[in-house]
Amino acid sequence: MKKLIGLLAVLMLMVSGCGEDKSSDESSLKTKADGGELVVRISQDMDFLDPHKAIAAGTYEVMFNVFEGLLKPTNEGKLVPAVAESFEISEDNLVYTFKLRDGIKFHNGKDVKVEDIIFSLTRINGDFPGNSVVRDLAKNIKEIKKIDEKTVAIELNKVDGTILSKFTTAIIPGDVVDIEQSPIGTGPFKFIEYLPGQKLVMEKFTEYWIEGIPTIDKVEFSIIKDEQSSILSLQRGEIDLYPRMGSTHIPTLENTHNIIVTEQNLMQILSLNNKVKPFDDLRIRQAIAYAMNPQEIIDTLDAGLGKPIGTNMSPVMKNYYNAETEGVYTHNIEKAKKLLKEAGYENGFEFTLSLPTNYRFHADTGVIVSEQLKKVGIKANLVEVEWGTWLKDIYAGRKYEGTIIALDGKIEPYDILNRYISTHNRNFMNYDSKEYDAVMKKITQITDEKIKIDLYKEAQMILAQDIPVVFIMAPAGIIATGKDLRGYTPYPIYVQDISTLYFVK
Amino acid sequence: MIYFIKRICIMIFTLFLVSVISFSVFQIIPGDPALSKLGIEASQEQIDLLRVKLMLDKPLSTQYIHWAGNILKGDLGESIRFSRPIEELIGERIFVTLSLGVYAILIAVVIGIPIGILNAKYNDTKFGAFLSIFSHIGLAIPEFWLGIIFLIVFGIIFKLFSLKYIPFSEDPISYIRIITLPAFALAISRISVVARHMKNIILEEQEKDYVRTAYSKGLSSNKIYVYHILQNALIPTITIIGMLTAGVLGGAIVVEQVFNLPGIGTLLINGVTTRDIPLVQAIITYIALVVVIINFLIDILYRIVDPRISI
Repeated sequence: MKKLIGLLAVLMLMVSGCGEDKSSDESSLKTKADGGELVVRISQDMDFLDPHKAIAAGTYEVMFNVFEGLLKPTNEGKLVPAVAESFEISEDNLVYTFKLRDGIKFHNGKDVKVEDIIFSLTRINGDFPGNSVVRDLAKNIKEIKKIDEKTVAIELNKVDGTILSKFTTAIIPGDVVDIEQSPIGTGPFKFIEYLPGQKLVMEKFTEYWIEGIPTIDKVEFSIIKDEQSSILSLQRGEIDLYPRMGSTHIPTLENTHNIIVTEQNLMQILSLNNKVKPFDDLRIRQAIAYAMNPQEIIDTLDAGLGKPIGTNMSPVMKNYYNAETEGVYTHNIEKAKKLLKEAGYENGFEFTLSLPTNYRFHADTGVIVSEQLKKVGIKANLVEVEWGTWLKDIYAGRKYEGTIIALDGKIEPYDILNRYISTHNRNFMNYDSKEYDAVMKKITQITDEKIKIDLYKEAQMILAQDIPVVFIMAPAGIIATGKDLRGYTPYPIYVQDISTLYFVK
Repeated sequence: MIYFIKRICIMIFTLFLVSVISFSVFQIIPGDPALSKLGIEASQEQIDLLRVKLMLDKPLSTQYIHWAGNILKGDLGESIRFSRPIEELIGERIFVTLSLGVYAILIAVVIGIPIGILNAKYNDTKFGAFLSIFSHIGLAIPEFWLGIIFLIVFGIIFKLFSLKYIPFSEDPISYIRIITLPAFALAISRISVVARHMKNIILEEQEKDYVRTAYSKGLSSNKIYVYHILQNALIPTITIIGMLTAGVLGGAIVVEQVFNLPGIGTLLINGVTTRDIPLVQAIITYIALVVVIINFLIDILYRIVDPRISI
């Protein structure tokens, strides 16, 4: 029995129209205009333009428009064929056979060949830093075979139920000299120039494989670190699109701009170091969870738009999210006090809560959290930590007691939940649960989607009950655009899809 | 001649000290360039690989000698964060910072000197008191705050200028319009500095014997000002401009950040936050070099203008 997965792609890429548009629709009389130039505000600079080296989410967010893999993610969190037209999986789940899409071209005008796919998937074995997706794929490829001019078979070392998402790894031309200087892919936009710390410019790729996409002629991703300057530029019409804006700016802009509110694949957490006293005691973590009131934080800092979460998963991952986790710990001061007493901390205790200074949102959350914990006698001493220090001491060094941060979601639930595996090198909360490790291990050995979903939900419930960290919210994604820009498509991952955008006149 | 050699030796020693201090500071502040570049998704092995590549695993002295050796060969090295030659990065941006600095100094001198003169002339009147208060206020306002206020007032409310950066090479007129506000934000406190210095110098000069002599010869007070006092006041003014240079370079870092201008300042802040040691080292050394050279030139000028001075 062979599973054949077909041609959903093109339809999938049409605008789905989720996200509610809060603007008045006075311009519904306007018509779609062809072309136009767009400026998008981004706050982070690129790390590498080489798609196999790039690790920063902020880079993927932009280069998503330039590079495509054999498969690509859709705005519904599904994976659809891109450079490939279709694929088959062998019965033993070890051989994936991809058929190359007819007539697909690179930005340099050359046709994509099977050799380019082989080149790209061989190249990722190189010993350079690369993102985890690229690395995991490279580790598991046993052999790549060219079947004919249109087909390539990839054999794996071992069955991996999460491998499909790894096939989003960018396909680049085999004859490219310096991909870092001239990134060439098959995406809807063609790279033009990059000025470090200033901007990255791309233009419409006229030979893109989906007819009628994209509409916009030229896009400039403008790197502006300062939020206030960005808002001013937006008000002056120098920026057309401002993704992930803080909710505090909504009142200023709602009459002059379109405000789109979406769910984000992002989990804000109060991370507790499970190896540090008293957080090694489950009762203490439970007490903190009962003492905290996430809804109050959502209402105060996120204009009531964020969603409460009970585990390390955002509700935006509809197929996988375990909504039952939300009720595991609800705000209850009495229970919190009782648990503290049981654990021998009737009079509370003090701990240091480190807050990253470059994320005002998390730093402000820390202030509210410390107020909430005061009510049960726990004193959180707030310390602001500069980002470079946060990365080194807290994230990599695990030298901290408590901190507040948001974790990025991925298209693959496994990549979201694997952080909590005891041996994972980014388990900065020092969570260690044999039960959890076993469930996560089982997931990698199974390819049946139904069973996998049940296991994911089970894993989420273990996290919800063990509460290694307190799950605060999935912050709302707020996007502001100029009045004449339409077609914004929110994704459940950290990308800006420019191909669906268009101006109206 | 001996004087020159002494000056040059002091210059070189200053640069050496600056580079050693800035190198050492990086060891004191926490953070890891490799980690900052690769971000939170990177694995430990990748970070270790990059650390070895960047020589971060070597002792500090080895790193410094390696770096200094390259500098002497004229190689500024490669930025960790941007994986590009630092020379290119600075080259792309130096014009913005220099033009902003020169513009600000011009504004400060052109506005500050007349205010200073008026202030000295009308020192005991209400008008003079008003000018004094005005320059005190100017001194007290921080650049970044002024920058933000300018942005809001002239950028948003009056829509007089654009925040969208246009390079000089594309459109010189627009470029000058864009850097006008930042230059004023940078110049306001310097106007006060220049004015106050000017006032003090003139007041000092007024008390001198030659002025009394000139008055007794029956010269008009305006003539005395223009021909005698101002000429003698010129020398200290040169010093002030020299002093301003270092301050303006420092202020430009802040102002560039507020106005989001692609200058050396934003590059430096970028470098500090990402622990891009080679980049920050190069920029600090560069700025130190500029300041030292300007001070050197001022000393020379001094000797030319007034041969009596020997330092």
